[in-house]
Amino acid sequence: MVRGQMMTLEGIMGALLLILVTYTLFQSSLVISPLWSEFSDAQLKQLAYDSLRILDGNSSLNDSLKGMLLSLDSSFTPNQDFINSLEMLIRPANYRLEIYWVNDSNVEKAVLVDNRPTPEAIAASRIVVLKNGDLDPSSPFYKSGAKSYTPVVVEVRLIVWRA
Amino acid sequence: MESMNERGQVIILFALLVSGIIISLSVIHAQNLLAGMESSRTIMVFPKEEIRNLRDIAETEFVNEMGLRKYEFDEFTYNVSRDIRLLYAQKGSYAEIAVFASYPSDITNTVSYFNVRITYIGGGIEYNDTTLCRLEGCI
Amino acid sequence: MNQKGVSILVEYLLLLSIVSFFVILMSLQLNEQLKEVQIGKVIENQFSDISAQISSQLVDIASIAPSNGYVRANIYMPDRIGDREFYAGFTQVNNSTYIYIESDDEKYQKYLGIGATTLYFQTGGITYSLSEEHRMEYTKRTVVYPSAVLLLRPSIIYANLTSPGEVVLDVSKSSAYGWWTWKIELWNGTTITGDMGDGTYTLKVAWNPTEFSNNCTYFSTNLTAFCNISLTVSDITYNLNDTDNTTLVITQNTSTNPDLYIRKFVIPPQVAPGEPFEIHVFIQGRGFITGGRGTTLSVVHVIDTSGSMNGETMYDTFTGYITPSVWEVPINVDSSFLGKRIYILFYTTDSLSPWWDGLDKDDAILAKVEQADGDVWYANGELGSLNGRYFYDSYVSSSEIGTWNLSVLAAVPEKSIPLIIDVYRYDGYWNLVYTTSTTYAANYSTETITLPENFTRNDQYEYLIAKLSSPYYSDFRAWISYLSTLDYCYDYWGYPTYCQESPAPATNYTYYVVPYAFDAYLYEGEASIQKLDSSRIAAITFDGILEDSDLVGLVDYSYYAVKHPVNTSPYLTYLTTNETAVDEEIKDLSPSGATNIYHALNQAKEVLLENTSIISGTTPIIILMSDGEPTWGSYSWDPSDPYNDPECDGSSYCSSGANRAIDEANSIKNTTIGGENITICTIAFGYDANEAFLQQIASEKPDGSKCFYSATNYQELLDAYRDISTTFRLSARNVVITDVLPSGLELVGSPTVSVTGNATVSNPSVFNTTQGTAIQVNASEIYINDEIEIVFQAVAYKPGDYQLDVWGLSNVTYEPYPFTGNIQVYNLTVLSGRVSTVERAVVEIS
Repeated sequence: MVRGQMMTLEGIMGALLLILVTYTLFQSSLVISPLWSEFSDAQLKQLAYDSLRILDGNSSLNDSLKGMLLSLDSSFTPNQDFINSLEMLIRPANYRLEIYWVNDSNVEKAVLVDNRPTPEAIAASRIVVLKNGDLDPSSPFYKSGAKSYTPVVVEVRLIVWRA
Repeated sequence: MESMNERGQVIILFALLVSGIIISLSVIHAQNLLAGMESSRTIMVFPKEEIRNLRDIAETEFVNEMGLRKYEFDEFTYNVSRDIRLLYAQKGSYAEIAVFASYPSDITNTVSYFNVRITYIGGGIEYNDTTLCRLEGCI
Repeated sequence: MNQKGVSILVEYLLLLSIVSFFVILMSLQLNEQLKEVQIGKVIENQFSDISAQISSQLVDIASIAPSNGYVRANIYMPDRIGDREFYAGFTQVNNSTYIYIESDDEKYQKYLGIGATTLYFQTGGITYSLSEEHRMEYTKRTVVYPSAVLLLRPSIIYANLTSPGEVVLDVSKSSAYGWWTWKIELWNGTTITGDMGDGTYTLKVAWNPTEFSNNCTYFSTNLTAFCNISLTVSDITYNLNDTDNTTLVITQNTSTNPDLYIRKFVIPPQVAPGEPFEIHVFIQGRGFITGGRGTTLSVVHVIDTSGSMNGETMYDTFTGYITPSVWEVPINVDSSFLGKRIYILFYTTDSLSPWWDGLDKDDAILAKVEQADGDVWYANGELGSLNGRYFYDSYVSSSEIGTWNLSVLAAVPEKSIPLIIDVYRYDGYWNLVYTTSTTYAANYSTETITLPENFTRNDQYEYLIAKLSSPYYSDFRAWISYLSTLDYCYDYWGYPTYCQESPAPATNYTYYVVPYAFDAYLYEGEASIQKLDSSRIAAITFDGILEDSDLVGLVDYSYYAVKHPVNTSPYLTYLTTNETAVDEEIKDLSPSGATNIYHALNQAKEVLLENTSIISGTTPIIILMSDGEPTWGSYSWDPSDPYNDPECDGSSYCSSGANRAIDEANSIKNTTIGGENITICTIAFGYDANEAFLQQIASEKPDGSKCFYSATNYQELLDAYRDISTTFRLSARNVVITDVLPSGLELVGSPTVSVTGNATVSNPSVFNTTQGTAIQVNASEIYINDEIEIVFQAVAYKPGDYQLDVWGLSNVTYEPYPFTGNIQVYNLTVLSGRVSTVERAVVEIS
């Protein structure tokens, strides 16, 4: 008789204990939000956009986006001043630079700086407008026979990731 | 023998009860982990820079070309708008800088002011702005 | 009997049920505790997340806020959190706005402040978590208000039953956002429309007293109507509009006193705080130049009567096209003519009177023969008995057989004459082979030259010359007809079309231009009269525009200058208000001699200084006209022996005479009568006048330029005199324009003044008064049709309706006609401007 009651009591105690533990456990539960890694990606993205905006200066400067695009030839190598300024801005991250432009309703693409991005890379782009009259005939964007005020619209895409 | 069976049943009953509670609690807890998704996602996705880029083109590049004659200016702005639309369409957004009225001056034949509408659709937002641009600036 | 109270089973069941009861109770409690606490936490976190999302969307939208457009952003939220649906939106608590999320059962709430962004937009709206779409929309409209400004040029017009008045309605100072259209409504209901491209509109106003008495304020005693014109400017982007009204004065009475037309307007009427208003004060001298009243002038005509004034000056020009009427006859010179003589006659039986009376009538016919082989011959032979010409070929060769084209023209205007062609072949006798005739009427042109009456003695001009210019005169013949005279035109050397009538009475002259070549087409010609006659017309016309109260005198000069007495009054001999007396003297002038400008100026000065008490208060002017340069009157010249000048030769430029004249001119310009300096205006007449010398002598006009005019023909001379008469017409004197900006408004930059016309205006001065900042501009004289515009910018930083000036202190004080010292005050209308933030942006959640 006593053993039976003891068994019951044990069972109840065990259950109560479990409940108590569970309660204590969840009382002080840890809330994990937001996703911390995403925050740092947002910072990197803003950095990339800001770098592009800083570089979009007067076309007479060698290291501006316009200056770099105007000096491009068919080898698609940007000039060293531009590379130096860009690297200084986004240091210590690694980057890849691509351009897209429209040629007779086709979108053409060229890679200016070829590095392989990691999966966590982010992309930022900026649109730059050039005029056909400012281009050298050796430039890949030059449209022969078009008027000097015909525009050439180029999207400069900068892909950045942490090294 | 009988009491042993009954005890076992009771223990199982209580165990079931408690585990049920634990399961429901864990489901609620799992929802917790989703918190924080939305706000950080929107920070990443809001196309602030794209829209600023479009505004800069309208306020700087177009205004710089106001020395052209009206038909040359219209041709220039139409070409820029079309190319921008193509480039953004590649990325899945819609962007347009449309000059819908340009007014030439009587004296010099160049454009003295123009009305431009900037539209951007993408990244979960839709942006539309109409401005009047003169040589001195846009309002 | 059992010792236990219950059986084991019942005891078991009892215990079980009690224990279960307690467990269930406790677990329910715990459920409440555990689950609710967890749900509470979860909801707290999710609500934080959603509100953070909304807040970051809001901040991002604010950073790219369009000034005139919308941004629509999607908000993402789960359908339910912890089994609860919820609302999300904006709410106001204690004058602060919060992002507010609340669960359905109102148990859980989350507030997130949005800080100072409420300064930039209004917030509102709410969304339910179960709705399909959640959106936040930001809209903002920037509205720029149009401003209508209507100005009249001039503000007073003359109209009578036969001639309508003309006024220019100027809307170009209006402005709006983008393209705008305007509509003007006149007092009689007529509407005129236009758009931004049409800045002005010229309106003709006919004199219509019934219309004026019905729709305007009309004073029939002095025949003046004050009519209202209103302008509405609408912009097509926002469909807003603004109106402006002004009054046009229409009168038949040109002796209306001159006055000032004052308008004040502000562009634009509504601004955002910190944006400036542009305030304009516009003043126009209103009045009539001819026939109105202004300053009294005392004018001395100084007219050159040297020998060169007998020369020609162009009076009128004419030009035209005539296609000559040519009678063409083809004749068939057949083989019967081969080897024979041929004789073709071209003649008329008409007497050719009165055109060719006294002249060789054969010359009236011009004939040309084009032979079959292409040779063209003019029939130059002259018939004796008949009026005409002949062509003679002694031998018709075989190549000349065929069709010959004969062309005939006759220079006989106005009448039709019979023309006959006879073709004779010598068959041993002159055989008339062919004859044909026609009635011929020449194509000719007439030009009318009118010499006006009442400008010369007995209405006779010294001479009138009419001619065609080179090379046209060789292709035409001309006649001139007037009164009962008909003259054929040719000059001393026989050049045609040159007619000189001397003396030439003041009447209409008809100049006939008749073609005298088969290819005559274009002609250009001119009529000239004596230079002195031309000056007579100009000077007497000038006297006609003078007022009744103006004084006028005459000095003419050649070797020496002569003052003409024109007044019998004991006080004044050489100046009079009776212009006719001066005109009669002018008619009697005659040219001969050298040019003594020194003595001319000297005598003109004496005329003005004869009795300064009478002239004091008027504007003294000497109008010196010359067609050459000083050739007489050196420092050694003495008026007692006028025909002797040791230093000058009387026919070429004499530098001593010029210097003496310049010295005299300088002393005259420094002489004042009644506080007014004597003004010398000079007119260089003709191509030989020494412009540099005359320009040096001339005084400066009120606007700083020299009162010097250059005229090469009669019309330009008239224009020069007219301009002189209007330069000195005042509409107001001692004008002070004061505009006070009330405190609350701040002046931005410095005010600018722009002046059109001869008014002298000081630079604007800015000073502080107890009532606010004052801007003051002085204009010592404003002439009729002058315009002065003062522009300044004022800015206010707080929103509200502002009065843009202070009534009573903002005014224009001036001395109107008749300039007796009586000051008139015109208080500027008080304009109001509104400063307000533009329509606020709205952010709405739905």
